[in-house]
Amino acid sequence: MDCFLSWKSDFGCVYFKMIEDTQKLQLLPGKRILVLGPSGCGKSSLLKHIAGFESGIPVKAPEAGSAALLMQNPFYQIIMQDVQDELMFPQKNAAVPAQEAEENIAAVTEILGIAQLAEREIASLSFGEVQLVMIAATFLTPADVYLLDEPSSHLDPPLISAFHRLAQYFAEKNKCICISSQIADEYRYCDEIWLMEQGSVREVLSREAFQHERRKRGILSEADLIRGRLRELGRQQ
Amino acid sequence: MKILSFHYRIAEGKILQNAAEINLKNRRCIGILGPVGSGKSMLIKLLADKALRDAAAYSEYPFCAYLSQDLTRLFTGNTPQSILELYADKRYTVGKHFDRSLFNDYARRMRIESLIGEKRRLASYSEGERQRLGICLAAAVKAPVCILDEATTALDTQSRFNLFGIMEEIRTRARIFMISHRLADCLYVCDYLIHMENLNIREHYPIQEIVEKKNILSYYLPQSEDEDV
Repeated sequence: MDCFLSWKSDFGCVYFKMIEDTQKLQLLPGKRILVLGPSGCGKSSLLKHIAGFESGIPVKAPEAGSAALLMQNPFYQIIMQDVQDELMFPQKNAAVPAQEAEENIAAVTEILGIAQLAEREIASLSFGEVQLVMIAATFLTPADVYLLDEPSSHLDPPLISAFHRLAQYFAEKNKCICISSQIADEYRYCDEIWLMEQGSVREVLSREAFQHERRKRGILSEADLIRGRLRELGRQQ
Repeated sequence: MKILSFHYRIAEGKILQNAAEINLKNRRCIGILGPVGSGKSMLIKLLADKALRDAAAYSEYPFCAYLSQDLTRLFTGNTPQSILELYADKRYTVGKHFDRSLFNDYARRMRIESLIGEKRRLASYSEGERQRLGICLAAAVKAPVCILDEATTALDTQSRFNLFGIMEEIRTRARIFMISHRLADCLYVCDYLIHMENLNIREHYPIQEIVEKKNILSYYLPQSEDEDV
């Protein structure tokens, strides 16, 4: 695969070039992007490319704008034993003043609804709770672009909503949020949908265009699956 | 098999409990639903983990084929071949129950057949590919009970339906416990649901009764179709 990514100095543009196709993908301040595609299509690789972590591919380091990445399995990124320390860690690394760091933690954990986890040991948390903590830790890393690889994979619908409220909170602070998912339902929360297939971003759609097009393209949401099955079960009763 | 009335102390101030006995006779695929942190995985660990049998949470403890929630993390330093050698080792209980030909069939159906022969370490595979490998391994262990804990978190829709097909086969030879926070998973394969909340079993009922559980449906279907935010 012949990929090339580069960042413009205005922290904005990424070019993801395939052998026969070139698309200009923009990571703009305030924008929320959903990278959608089947298992193994390259979503994680794309996010790592953008973050500058993939080797063997000519990637220019960001000239302006920094990225924070949450990998698909949040356990890989745990540093500390306790939740509070984990949330403080990225801020201490970035020399955020202590008072400001505490305020940031309070704001983020309140939106996610995990303030009650602050005193817990991470080893005592469920997988979903760990995912929430690491989402918080990612957003507490000072950055311009937040890249989150399937951050909702262990969350149920109310927590997915909470996660997107947090994403919106940071988008309103002119941050760019780019998340990957296999759950089409999350398009509702995003401005732009990048449809991936076999290692390539095939198409970029606005939320409105995706909403209009998705059923024609056979893209089913969780709500579609649930409602379809409920109708069958209702008939069985 | 029954889930008995029990109290199990997880940590200071955290008690997992069930107030009344649940008879699972004739239930072949039991879905365990509940919010994040409600105790779903712990409930099933009380069945699968020999060290936790003192809790006396179940009436019997048959050998379990078990796909744990974070198993794939343990795979990363290995190749598929080295994992397969471990699963097939007859010195261990798992090896005595592992059926390689079944595994090959499931690997084909879960579309990871071509990955099996590769000598790359699993760290270079996608999370979805590792999860599909974990599913095939657990499904090919012939045991009276098969536990799938959040088996679909990294699967796309097609792979989920492939898994549902495999589960239809497993249920003819084993009782399945499936934990998922995706209601659709349970709706498609389960015949019985256990709903957990705050470390308690709140409700349990045949799957057909879900259509009357407005509280659960509104939890998993909080928005009207195609509603924008």
